[in-house]
Amino acid sequence: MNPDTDLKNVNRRSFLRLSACAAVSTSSLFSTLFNLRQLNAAAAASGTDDDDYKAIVCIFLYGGNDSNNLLIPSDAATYATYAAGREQLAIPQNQLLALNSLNADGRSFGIHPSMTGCHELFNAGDLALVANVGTLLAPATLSDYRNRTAAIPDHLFSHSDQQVLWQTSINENASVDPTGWGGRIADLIHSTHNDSSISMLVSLSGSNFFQVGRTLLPFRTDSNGSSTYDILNGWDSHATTRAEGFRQLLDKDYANLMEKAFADISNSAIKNADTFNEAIATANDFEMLPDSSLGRQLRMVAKMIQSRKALGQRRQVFFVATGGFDTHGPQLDSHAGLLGGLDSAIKGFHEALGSIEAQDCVTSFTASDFGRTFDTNGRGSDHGWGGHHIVMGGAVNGQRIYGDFPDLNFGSAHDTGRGRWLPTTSVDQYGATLARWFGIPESELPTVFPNIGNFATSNLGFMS
Amino acid sequence: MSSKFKYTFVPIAALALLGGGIYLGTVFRPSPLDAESSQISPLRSPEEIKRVRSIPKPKAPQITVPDEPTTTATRINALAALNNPTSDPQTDIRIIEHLLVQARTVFHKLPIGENEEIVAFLQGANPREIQYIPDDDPNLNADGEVVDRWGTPYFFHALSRDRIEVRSAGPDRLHWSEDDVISETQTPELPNT
Repeated sequence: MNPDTDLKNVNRRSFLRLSACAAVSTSSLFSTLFNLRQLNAAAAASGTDDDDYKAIVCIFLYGGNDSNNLLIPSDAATYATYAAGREQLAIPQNQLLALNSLNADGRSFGIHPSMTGCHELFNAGDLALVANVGTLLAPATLSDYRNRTAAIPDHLFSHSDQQVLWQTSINENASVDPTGWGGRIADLIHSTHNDSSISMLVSLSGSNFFQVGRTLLPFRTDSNGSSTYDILNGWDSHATTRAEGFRQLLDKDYANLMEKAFADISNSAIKNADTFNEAIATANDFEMLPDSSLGRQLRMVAKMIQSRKALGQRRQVFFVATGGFDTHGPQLDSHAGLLGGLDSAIKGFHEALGSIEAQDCVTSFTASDFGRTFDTNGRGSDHGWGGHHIVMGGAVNGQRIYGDFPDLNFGSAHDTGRGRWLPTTSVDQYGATLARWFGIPESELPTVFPNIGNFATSNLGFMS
Repeated sequence: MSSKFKYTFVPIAALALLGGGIYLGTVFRPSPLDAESSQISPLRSPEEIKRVRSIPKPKAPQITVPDEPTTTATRINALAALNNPTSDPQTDIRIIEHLLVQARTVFHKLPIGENEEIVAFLQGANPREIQYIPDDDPNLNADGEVVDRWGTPYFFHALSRDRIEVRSAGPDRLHWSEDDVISETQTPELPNT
């Protein structure tokens, strides 16, 4: 269609129609720009000095952690209910590590005997526990769940679906972009807080949904540093020549759009990897962290936090993960090992942050597919729903248990069957409490957590 | 012809023609008697009408109710070949997996939950009330769970919305032990579990 002819044929009615469309599109653009300006102003008001650094670290426990044996009631009556329900999975009462909780409800709890580090951090006020957190779209009672009178997440008890829902907080049929809540946080604040070509989203554990943003994607590295092309590695003369040739190929000016795009992306990735590796080259070794997969991932996180100025980052969202928590089979010993590994990594990470005076600006939290059945299958436990989680850091209002601990009696108001606890705190509330501390304004919380308005509060109070 | 003349003359002429037509139609309208006489044909004389009306009308055919079908509707029994001594345990797993694929095709999702909840779904507790497994299926135990050839309930391991790993506890009747039987086409564990 000839544009000149179009302009000649514009009449009053079509002019008004086109103007209305233009007004709608520009108003949304101006709204976005206005929000960004507000965020910039908020950032400026909060100060841009060196101390204005914050990071959140998601520790994902793949498989569905049996947190029924992480946080255990220790008063005589409730422990008896616990022991009767868990049967052979019960941790003996005299082995529990007692929590000196500041909660005023008069209840007493202990944690798993292999979690000595977390026990110490809890009692020192640097660690809190959040009870019965799970995927929810809106508050739901047992009747709501059974009769579907409230919105219930799809594909409960399924590993991959619940991993996605925990990391995105968006049900599959929702009419919003399927991005992760870590990515949505980054979309809002990356440009106003960071001066770096490297994404503020950093994954130490490969692909994940948590860090998928609308405009940002995670910078993926591993515990040894960032690498791009194998051809760039090697130290002999042939390898050096090959690497130089490869770089020259990428530096050529290509007329073909595909070739040009490939060369640009590759050059950007190589430049980011070089910047990253150079920045962390002088970081500490953080030997207090264990030489486990999770320990090595957190060691690299600590190095990046220490190198934050060289990387130009004032806000970072990290993702680390460990697996093996799908404990259907013989569980007691394997789960003790899994919790022990998590414990030593968390404790070591806290010490590492302490050594670089970064404990107050970094908050770590656990997440998992789901909790597990309180009932045993005879050897282990099966897929559940709500579970207890750990939040650790200097800014955490520690030594407390947040949320509502479920009634452990089978058939209780929290039991959807076999002790699959109906969550009493949503992932949205859990994440929103962290996001608010991280700098997301109250008005933007629904952008990050679309369902947060369905819940009574968006602040569980565990962050200062 | 100027446009002003055209816009004035044409409507006036049309109105004049319309009015004239109405007048002529009123003046030369045929009388009702002429109309009646023109419609009566020689065959419609009063005698003829009486004769035609005296002809008996044909009787309506007698309605009969069909007999009850002598054969009953075919029952679906998706587990008919399960735990057959002449087949192997792998075949049993495939039979159940095939049934789950059928259900997913119809309902666009897999049933979720424990063994008895999945069996209940397949026995008719589903949106279309399709009964894939009859109530008296010999492969069900007293708790409504489908059991393997050693009498242990199968374990339905929900890996994703599209994939349930069906597990038999095997001869030792202990789940998650060395002799468990699972589909040969499936990997034992998801990478992220």
